[in-house]
Amino acid sequence: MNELRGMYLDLMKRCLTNMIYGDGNISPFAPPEYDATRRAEARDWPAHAHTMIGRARLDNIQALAEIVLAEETPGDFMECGVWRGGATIFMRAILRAYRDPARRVWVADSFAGLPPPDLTRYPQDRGLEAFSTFEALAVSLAQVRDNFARYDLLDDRVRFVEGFFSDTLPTAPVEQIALLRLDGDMYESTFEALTHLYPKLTPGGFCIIDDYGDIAPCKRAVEDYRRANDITEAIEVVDWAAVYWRKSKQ
Amino acid sequence: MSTKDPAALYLDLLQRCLTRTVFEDGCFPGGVISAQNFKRRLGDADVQFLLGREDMELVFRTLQDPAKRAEGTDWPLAAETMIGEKRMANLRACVTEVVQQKVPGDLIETGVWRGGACIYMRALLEALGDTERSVWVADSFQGLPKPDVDQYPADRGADLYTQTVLAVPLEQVRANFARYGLLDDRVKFLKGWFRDTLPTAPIKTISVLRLDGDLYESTILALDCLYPKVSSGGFVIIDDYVLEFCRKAVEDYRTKHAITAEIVAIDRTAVFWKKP
Repeated sequence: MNELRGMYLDLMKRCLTNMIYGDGNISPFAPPEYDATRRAEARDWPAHAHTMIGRARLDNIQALAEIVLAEETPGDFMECGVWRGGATIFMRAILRAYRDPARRVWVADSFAGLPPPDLTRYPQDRGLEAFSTFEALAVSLAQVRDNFARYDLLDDRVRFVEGFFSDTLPTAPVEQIALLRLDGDMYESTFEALTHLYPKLTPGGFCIIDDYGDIAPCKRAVEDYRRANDITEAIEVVDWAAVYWRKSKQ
Repeated sequence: MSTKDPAALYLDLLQRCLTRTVFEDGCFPGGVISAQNFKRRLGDADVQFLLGREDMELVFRTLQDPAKRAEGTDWPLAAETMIGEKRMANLRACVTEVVQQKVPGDLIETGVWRGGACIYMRALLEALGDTERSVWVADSFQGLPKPDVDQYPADRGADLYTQTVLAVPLEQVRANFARYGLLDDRVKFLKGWFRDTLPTAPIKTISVLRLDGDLYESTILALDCLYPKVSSGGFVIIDDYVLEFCRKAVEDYRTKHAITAEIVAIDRTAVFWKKP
């Protein structure tokens, strides 16, 4: 039975990254042809696949979720900045595979792409002006819902939080989080998410930062927040861009 | 829906993958049209020149229609199977029953295209905890044969051999198994025309016999060589019963051998029966 659970989640990962059919790349930073290594390492924007985070980061989500489930650390799973929804679809699949009866998956996004930098409040985002112009990063809520449904994973335990983080996260109705995944790329998105959600992260829960290694303003937001809140838990590397840490149980 | 066990979760997802309902796909409506037919429709001289080349063909690509994919009535651009969701569900039910009821024998499909149904059979054995049975993958791996109308007059006019999209090399089918992590020594390939391979196929006992060879010749050969090996309680699935020449082969074989087991429709195309 455990083996079949592993087969299911393995197939989910192959499917979400579309390493089964191998679709092309639409990112301006890589060639258009499909390349399995690039896809696995999260170095392209897939034309059709439901996630761009690659294999190692999906493995990381599963590994951390399995710890949380095994230790019965209370709290929901949440991602801020979801693109086509793949990582959150995978979170729902993990809960399904382990027959978790109660946890929700929170799917927070503008569903309209990244905001233009608010340089008055967050001058650290200078240089990221182009992000808000990438139409490929804007995926509608309807499409993300449809992607969940394609995997038969859309139900009332999937909760959508629609809007820019500075508007939605301060009052988001999520109470307790066991697995928090931040993929908002920018200083503002990362800092706002940490400010409003990290206090809701259960001790023993995990905080994953998707773009720590490749987007300097994102890393800086993490450093600023950790310093301001005396967070000293060790930062663990997932791959060339993503990191996580575990909130201490004391 | 949260009560599904991991085996069901896995098989449901695999079925969605193999029929490619989990992603947008396209299809070849009516297959690949011959260059000659295009010439009649198009007047442009450059296009005529291109289509006159023997190595050129034109393909219509259209979006997949979920209803057609469910019924298995389109030819998908990317999906590993074209049999559709109803026939996949039937295959799952048949394999589940023979494993659970301990009906002895391997699983075989004759005429596999990209291998999707065979991949599903291998996955079913894994999900059902079977550790013994093999999956036999029988195909020319170069498309359908030209009709042999002297020996099989019922196949007169069957021009499926011209459909290059139906010819899938063995290496591609192997790669399709591997992509799902399901290629191992319990997957056995029988490469060649059925008249050459099936009479001496080293397969002893069959619990699920799935025929998808379309032609009278392919169907009658598979029945002649393999039906006697099907265990009592095993299943015979005829994918192309809707095709007249295929149906005639089934009727001729059943009449000759006085088979009266009830033929059950799976969808508008395929049927199956259980060997008593």
